[in-house]
Amino acid sequence: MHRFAILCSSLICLLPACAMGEGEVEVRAWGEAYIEEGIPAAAVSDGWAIEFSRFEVELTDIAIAGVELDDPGPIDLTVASEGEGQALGRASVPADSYDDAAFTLARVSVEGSASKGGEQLGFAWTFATPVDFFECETTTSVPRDATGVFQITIHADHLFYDSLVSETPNIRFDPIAAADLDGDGMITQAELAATDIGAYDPGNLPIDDLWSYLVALAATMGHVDGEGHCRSSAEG
Amino acid sequence: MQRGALALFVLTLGCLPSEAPRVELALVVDGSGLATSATDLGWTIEFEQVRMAIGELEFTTAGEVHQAKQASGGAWSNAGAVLLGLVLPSAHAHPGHYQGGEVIGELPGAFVLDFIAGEGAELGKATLIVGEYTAANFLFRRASADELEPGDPLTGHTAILAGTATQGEQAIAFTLVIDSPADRQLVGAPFEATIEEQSEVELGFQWLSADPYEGDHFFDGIDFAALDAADGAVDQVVILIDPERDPAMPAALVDAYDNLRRDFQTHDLFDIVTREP
Repeated sequence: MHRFAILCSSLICLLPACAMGEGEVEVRAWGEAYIEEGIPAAAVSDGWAIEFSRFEVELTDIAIAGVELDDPGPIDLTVASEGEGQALGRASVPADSYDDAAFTLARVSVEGSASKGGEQLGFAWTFATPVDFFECETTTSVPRDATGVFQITIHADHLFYDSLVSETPNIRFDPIAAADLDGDGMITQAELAATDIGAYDPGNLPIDDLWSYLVALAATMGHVDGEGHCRSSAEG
Repeated sequence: MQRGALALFVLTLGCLPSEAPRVELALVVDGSGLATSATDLGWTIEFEQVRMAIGELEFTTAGEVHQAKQASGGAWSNAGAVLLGLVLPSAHAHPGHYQGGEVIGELPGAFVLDFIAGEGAELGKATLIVGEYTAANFLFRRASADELEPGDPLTGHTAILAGTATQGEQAIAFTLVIDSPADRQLVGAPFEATIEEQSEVELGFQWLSADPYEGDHFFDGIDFAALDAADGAVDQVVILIDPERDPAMPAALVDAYDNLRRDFQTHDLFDIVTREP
């Protein structure tokens, strides 16, 4: 019996978790300075400065290291975080390196304004089509008895790209500003849907109106650990 | 899809006991995609000039089919191909338009294609690994002076399409000069072929004046008479150029140019076919 117990504990210690110990993985979401502080006019090719008063994301089905976190609920990424982003959850996992992160950007609600030369236009849009992100280009290292961080990074500037296919798109706002058809200072989903995309480049996608174009752009906002890309697909 | 992927792929295969067989096939200009046909507004289009500058051709296998239900197979989040499922009605999915496939053939270089005067002209020998092909990618370029005759109007531009639009007694000469963004890649032009070691075909690069699957003419929605009136001189001549080159261009012409350039830069109107040499 005694020898059997020794044999068992020896076999158990051959398992990776025993050999390497455990650590914690923490998942955070960050909207970078573009969301927390705004997109400065210098970064926008037609000179608009864009600010967000709310940039609320609903992230669901967040999984890493074989663990799925509880859905954190809506997170407003405009809250200043000094570059840390906001915590979504954490889990104890075997100390190791993980490249299996996945998540769903289920909903994005943005409110804000754009300003240029004394003109100010507001917007309040919700993108409600969930987009799954998986096979992400990142590896999260979880040290023994320490914490590894996996960051979901949201790129707000993608919402204003002038191309869905260029490797070097410009950030523009003039065409969106021109969609304020009733001149009331608010650019609505209905107005965008009634406006042709003009010189914007949708690639092979049969997109003609600005709202559909923004929906397609919104689906590209999800990244990991800064500039890391994932494969993505829309649900539904 | 990475340029140079073929080289890497071949290098990888080179480590294996036997190298993947490959063939070299001529890629030629195939003007048979141009047809004198009518638009949805009743204008019959006859082309006199269709030329374009392209380069860096890649030939691919597999990838993501351009169809809503299969789009969930994934697309990189930084690519424009994302969210096909959101915007593509599955009833109108084109067969064979794959995106993100593996590059197993290539024809690097810069080319100017003339689909009328240059019918059958060879662009070069494409190197293709034996296999099933589904699509092709290439870059739109701006033609440079050193590859054209002096004063050629294509210089500095991506494409010129010129001809006559006729409706009843009315005939309007049109010229469309397209400028694509730098390094704008077209992904997923249909290229459905089985390439074998014994293949003795050549590849024909086509530009199609009408979408073969949906029947749309490239100039659908363009009212040439209205554009002729909008350009300030009712002279039966319509010239459309990039509005950035003419800030004073009337809105109707700007809209027409934007729509035509958008359609020109999609894979719907390109095809690569195999044909007898």
